[in-house]
Amino acid sequence: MKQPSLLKIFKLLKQMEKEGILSQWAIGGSIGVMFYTEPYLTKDIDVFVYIEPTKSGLIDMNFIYDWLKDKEYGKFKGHSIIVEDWLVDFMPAKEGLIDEAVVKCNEFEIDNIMVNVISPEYLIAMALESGRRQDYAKIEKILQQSKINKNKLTRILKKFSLYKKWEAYGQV
Amino acid sequence: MGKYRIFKNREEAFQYVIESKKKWRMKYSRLTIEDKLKIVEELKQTSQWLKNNAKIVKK
Repeated sequence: MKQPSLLKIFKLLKQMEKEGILSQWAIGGSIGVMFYTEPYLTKDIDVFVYIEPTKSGLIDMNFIYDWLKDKEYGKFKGHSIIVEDWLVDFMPAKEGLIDEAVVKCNEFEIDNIMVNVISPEYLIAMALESGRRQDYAKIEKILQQSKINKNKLTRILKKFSLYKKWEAYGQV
Repeated sequence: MGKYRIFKNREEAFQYVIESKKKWRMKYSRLTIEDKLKIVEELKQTSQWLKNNAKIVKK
């Protein structure tokens, strides 16, 4: 099978990690879900990244975009960068659930590249937190098509005050 | 690049990127059936590639 264009994005992320641009990162969103389920209609890749605040406490994302520009990944659309016709989004991990999801991600090996992917339990919690129609579709897909550690999921939902929402969603 | 990607905190940075995504994400409703089928076919192949090759090594 021809290597999919996604591999080039994984290689780019590993290069960014090697050069110290990314420290803690993990793929989430629909592509993250696709590691555990059947495919999605998407051309977006969400890469959640931990960004160390500056001394004055600000979040400066310029170094990511400057690095990409230097490497001639110069085709941008807003905050997204286009790689192999995929729209790659670097999402700053906000404190709380996403932060923990990035730290406790799963690691996959694919064609000798290690790829960090948010675990299905955290993907469910993040989708529940967002609460849009497409997020509930993601939850259904994960529940139907992948193995979930229910204790782990319950622990996450309770920790981040999402358990009542989960109950209301009808999963308890 | 402009120097406008500086935010007060992580929450603000996150929300800014979310808004940018909404603006720039592909408008699937504007695609032709042929374009949609092409994307679906590519995604099917990608999904199969992940199934065949991606091994979880650390949980």
